[in-house]
Amino acid sequence: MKKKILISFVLLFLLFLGGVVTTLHIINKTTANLTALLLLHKVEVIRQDLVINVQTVQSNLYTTGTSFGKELDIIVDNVLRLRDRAQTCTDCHHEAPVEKEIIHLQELTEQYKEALSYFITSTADAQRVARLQYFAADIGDRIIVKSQWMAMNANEALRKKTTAAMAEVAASKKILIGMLILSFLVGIVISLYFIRSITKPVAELLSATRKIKAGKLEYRIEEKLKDEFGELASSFNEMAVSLKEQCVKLQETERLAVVGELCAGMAHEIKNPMAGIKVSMEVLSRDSPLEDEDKDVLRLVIKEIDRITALLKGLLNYARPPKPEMVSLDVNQVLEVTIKSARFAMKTPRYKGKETDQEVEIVKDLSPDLPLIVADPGQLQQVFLNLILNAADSIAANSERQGVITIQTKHTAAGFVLISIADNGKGIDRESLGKVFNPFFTTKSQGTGLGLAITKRLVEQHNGGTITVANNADGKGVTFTITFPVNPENGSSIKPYAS
Amino acid sequence: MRCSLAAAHTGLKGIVFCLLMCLVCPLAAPAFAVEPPKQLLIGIEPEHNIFDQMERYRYLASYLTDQLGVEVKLTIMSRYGEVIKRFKSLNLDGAFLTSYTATMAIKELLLDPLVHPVNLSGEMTSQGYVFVRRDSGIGDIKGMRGKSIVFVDPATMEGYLFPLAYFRQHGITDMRREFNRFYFSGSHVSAIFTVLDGRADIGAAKSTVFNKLANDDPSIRQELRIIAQSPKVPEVTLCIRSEIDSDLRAKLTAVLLQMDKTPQGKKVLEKFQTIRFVKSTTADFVKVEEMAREARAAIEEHGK
Repeated sequence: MKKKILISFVLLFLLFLGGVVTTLHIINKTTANLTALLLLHKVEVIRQDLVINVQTVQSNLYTTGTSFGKELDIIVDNVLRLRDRAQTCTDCHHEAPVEKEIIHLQELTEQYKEALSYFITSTADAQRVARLQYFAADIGDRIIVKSQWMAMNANEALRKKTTAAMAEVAASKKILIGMLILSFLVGIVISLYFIRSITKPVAELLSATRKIKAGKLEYRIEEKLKDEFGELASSFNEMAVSLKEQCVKLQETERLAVVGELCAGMAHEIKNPMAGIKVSMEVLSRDSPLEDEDKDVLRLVIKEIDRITALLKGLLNYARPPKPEMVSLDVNQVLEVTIKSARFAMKTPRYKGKETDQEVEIVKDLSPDLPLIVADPGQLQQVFLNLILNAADSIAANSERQGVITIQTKHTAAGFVLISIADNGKGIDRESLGKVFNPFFTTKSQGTGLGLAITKRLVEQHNGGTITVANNADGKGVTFTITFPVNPENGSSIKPYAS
Repeated sequence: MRCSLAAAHTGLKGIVFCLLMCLVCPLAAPAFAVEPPKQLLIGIEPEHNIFDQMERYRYLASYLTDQLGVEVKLTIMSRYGEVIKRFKSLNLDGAFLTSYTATMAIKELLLDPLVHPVNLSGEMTSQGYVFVRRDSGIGDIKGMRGKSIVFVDPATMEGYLFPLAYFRQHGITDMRREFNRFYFSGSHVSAIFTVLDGRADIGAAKSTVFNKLANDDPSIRQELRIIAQSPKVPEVTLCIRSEIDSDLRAKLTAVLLQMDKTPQGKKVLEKFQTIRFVKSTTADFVKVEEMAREARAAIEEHGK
């Protein structure tokens, strides 16, 4: 759409520019024509003025010495005005033939001046004076004839120029009207196109928004919208999916909250009587005069009470996990501490010698330049320990091969810190794979089914934290993958983690 | 007591009179002051081409108007002799006059000569020439008898009075009898061309005009022979009426004499085709007066 708008603007701009250039060209042409016409009119006026001046001087010439004669000063003024007028002719003309005629006219004017001066100042006999007068008058007449001839030529040029100028003006008018109509039509076409291109997808988006608002979260925009509207529709659909997921999560959270409250209440109510029963059982098993076989039963009861208490504790952890205390930390550092704890834990009879005689090898592949993340180190440690021990359990269940837990960290291009904990244990069947994070789901005989559920809750309590599980490609064992976003402020405003 | 009152009354009258005089005198004073003229009307005698001549003089008039703060107007005369008449009819304040008319005007109108222009050849004087065509066969005054002669104007020293005086000195006193035909061409140039064209055998004209034409067209010297030359006399002189305000006269003289010393003045002088102005006195016209006397005697004897 942006591209189309840009192209349309460029098109309109070019059209406008073309119009402006054409208009300016026409204005220039018309102005030049008008200037030429004005010049020709001016020339015409100069010619007429010249003729009038010559005629005035001629009348001065004929009336000199009579009672109608003018003062010599007036005659001098008239002649000088005539000379000036003749000289102004050269100011405008450039064409060689006209220039030649004008120069001839100026020469005649100079001759006329000379002849007039002879006549005026002459005191010779009457015959000679008459001859001088005739000579001057003859030149004056020639100037008049020449001026009139030139005026006639100028008139003809003026007529032709006027006709040509009028034709050009008419053509220019047509071009301007054509440009105007073309601009108008192009403008309408572009406007209609954009109106259609915008209103249709907007209506579709509006309709979709109303449906979502009405609660139809499964509604998706199916129609393929073009350009940015297509992207908007795609984002809208993603938003609808996300909204649906968020709703489900919200429902889950609400459900868990209810369950949590219920569990907390129940745990509280069960824990106290359990503590009393346990103490009583311990007293009985220790101090009563019962047979050892009976005391073994009591000890079994105590063991089961411990198991119930652990279950209740796990249930409480799951339902009401502690609020994380976020610090800026290096995941590798947390992992190192956790691995030490895990190694220590795995040395207990449960992991060594009881169910399998094999040592579990922990392979570390930690990226040295891992960026910091924001997380609760205690909860993170709990998550990692849980997953490592889970892996060790899985390995213990499969005694055929040497157990290896591979822990890897890396910085992804998407700006996440990725932690994977893989084992080469028995793996998880496809059906169970989707349920491993569900509470109370377990494949272990002694498991509560809350370990991975709590792990998932703890991971997701951290903003943007995710956890996934998948069987390894070689079909041996599974890999848990956790991601946390990199601390955007690089720990500058978050308290750093001190191990 | 009455006596003292009368004395007091007389004293009061005297004080009132004195006060009135004090009031009236300053008001009356400007009425007696001589106001300089608002305009100076200067006449010009015609030269070869009166239109070009007028144009040249207008540059000078414009410059003088600016410098003097008084409008200087020009009027041209069609005849040399018109100057005396014009001074009377038009109340001219001054004129650029040729030698003879200047002499007459100084004598009859009591004009004062102020300055002479120095022409581009460095001359401020001119002579009268009597000349003939070389192919006319006229070698001296004897050969002129019975021929036709063209003068410039009766009011020119070079173009009429000098030849008259010259002829009288050489025994020719009656023009009508001694020459076949004589007439006036009106200007020095036309007198020269009249002889060149063969329409007259003998001519008289001013040396400066003759030399200028001859310099422009060297063939003139080859075609014409100068038979006689007059003494040198001022060519043109600016003369003004003696009644003109003395301050204005002094200022006018100073401006003209200083023109060649200022850039603006030099530009005007260039257009006026003059190098500078030099001071003139009445003594410059003594020779002209002598020639005029001689010529007048000839005219008195036989008429014009």
